[in-house]
Amino acid sequence: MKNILLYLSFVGLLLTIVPAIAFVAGQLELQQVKFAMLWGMVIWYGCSLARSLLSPSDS
Amino acid sequence: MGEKKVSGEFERTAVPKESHKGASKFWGMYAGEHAAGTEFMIGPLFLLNGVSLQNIFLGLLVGNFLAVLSWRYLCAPIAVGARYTLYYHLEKIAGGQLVKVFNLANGILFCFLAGAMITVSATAVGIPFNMPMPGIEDWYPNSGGFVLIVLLVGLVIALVAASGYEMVAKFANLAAPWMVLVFAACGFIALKELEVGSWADLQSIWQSSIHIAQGGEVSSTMGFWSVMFFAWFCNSAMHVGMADLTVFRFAKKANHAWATAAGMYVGHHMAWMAAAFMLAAQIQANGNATPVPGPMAHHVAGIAGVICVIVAGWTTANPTIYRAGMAFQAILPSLSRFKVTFIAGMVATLAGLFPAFAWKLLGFVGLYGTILAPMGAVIFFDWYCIRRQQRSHLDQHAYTGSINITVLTAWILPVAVALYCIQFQGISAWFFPLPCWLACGLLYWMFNRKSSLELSA
Repeated sequence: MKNILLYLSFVGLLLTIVPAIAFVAGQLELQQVKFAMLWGMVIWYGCSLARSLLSPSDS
Repeated sequence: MGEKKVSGEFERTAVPKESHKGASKFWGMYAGEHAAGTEFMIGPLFLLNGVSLQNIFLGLLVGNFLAVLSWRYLCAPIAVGARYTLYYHLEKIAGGQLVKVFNLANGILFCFLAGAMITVSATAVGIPFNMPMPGIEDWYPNSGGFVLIVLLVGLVIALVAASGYEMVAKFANLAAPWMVLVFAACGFIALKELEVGSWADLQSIWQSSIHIAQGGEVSSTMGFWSVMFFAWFCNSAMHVGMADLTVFRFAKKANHAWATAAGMYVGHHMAWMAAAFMLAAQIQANGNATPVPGPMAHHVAGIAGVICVIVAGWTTANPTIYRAGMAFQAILPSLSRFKVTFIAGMVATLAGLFPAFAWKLLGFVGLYGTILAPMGAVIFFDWYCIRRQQRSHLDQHAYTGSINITVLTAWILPVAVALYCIQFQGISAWFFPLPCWLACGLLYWMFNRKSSLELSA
């Protein structure tokens, strides 16, 4: 479970930086980037906090 | 490495071998610690001071490298040689009472630094409440809403810091990689907003932004040397000032101090430039040259940017207030840690009510280094010229009085001259940590040459 949350939290980080690069490349609008970054933040903190709440035996 | 673990163990003994840490602990710690709320202010202040783009880029490149070298070759070798905290090491040279005086200076300066971080956080918290943002000309609180939000933010930060910040330190470690990426994303988005296709385009837009920000003029109050010295000495209290003896006493080897490069080039290069581009994008979009971090981050990154400003301010203000509380508690041991940290937090909150501390952050950081860093020279010259790099010499010949007058004189004289030059001659504060450090160290060595000869005999 902890490993799944770890991979998901990386998705959160990717959603923070990749849309900004896609915006530079002209692939996304600014509002879409802001929306993706918001979700990236929610996923990163959600998964990281959930990971820290799980006991080590769950990994 | 948790902050509590660093500061809460082996405070009056050398760190034993089994507690030494590997390099990886330091890389993450420095990358996170230097992605702070104040980074949102410093880059934009370069733009407002009319610094050219190449001077920022090259000045930061060289200055940050010199800062890394200072950690690696001045601070870390003493840290792994003696393995004491700054305060315990200094106590053995300067005496307990003088360390308390040094603590008081440290604590007060920490409070004002935390105040600037509270101001930064408040500008983000105020966005949903349509709070009137303070302008660059506002030295005092500009509205009741700003006062209320600063007081609320400060109260929360002070209460959390006073309750012990182990949880906040964990949250700060968790937030660090995300914050670094938000800084990078903000920089990318701002560059795209500026519609630059080449270096020449960027320079042209940069000059135009300075032109708008300075009300139709282009005058630079900072050149390459100012940026370089600022980048080198904005953390001078930590490296040449030896505050990070407390951190690197846990390092297995002195070369773990190369990890500070993560903090310098991520936090003090990439983040400062990203924040400067954010202000340039805001100026080009609506002509507003006020470097208020909350609205700037909201403009390029939306809610994630606003949360990043709040988190960056909160996670760095908390340990700063906690350290100020620790410094004050050494002077007032009868007060509980909670009370003294809460008082430090309230002092920081009062400082946060005055946006001037945020607008004048460049000068304040230089002043902070000028006052505190010279004490590091005492440790440096004492370690190499008097104790001959032997911890046993430090232990066996520790100063037993309360105030070592030679240390006090060596510290006060150059700092007094520097403060006069800063206040009355108008010379920028970031030029003074180096001459003060050298003068303080040489004076201390001259005053104590006899002891040095006796030890080496």
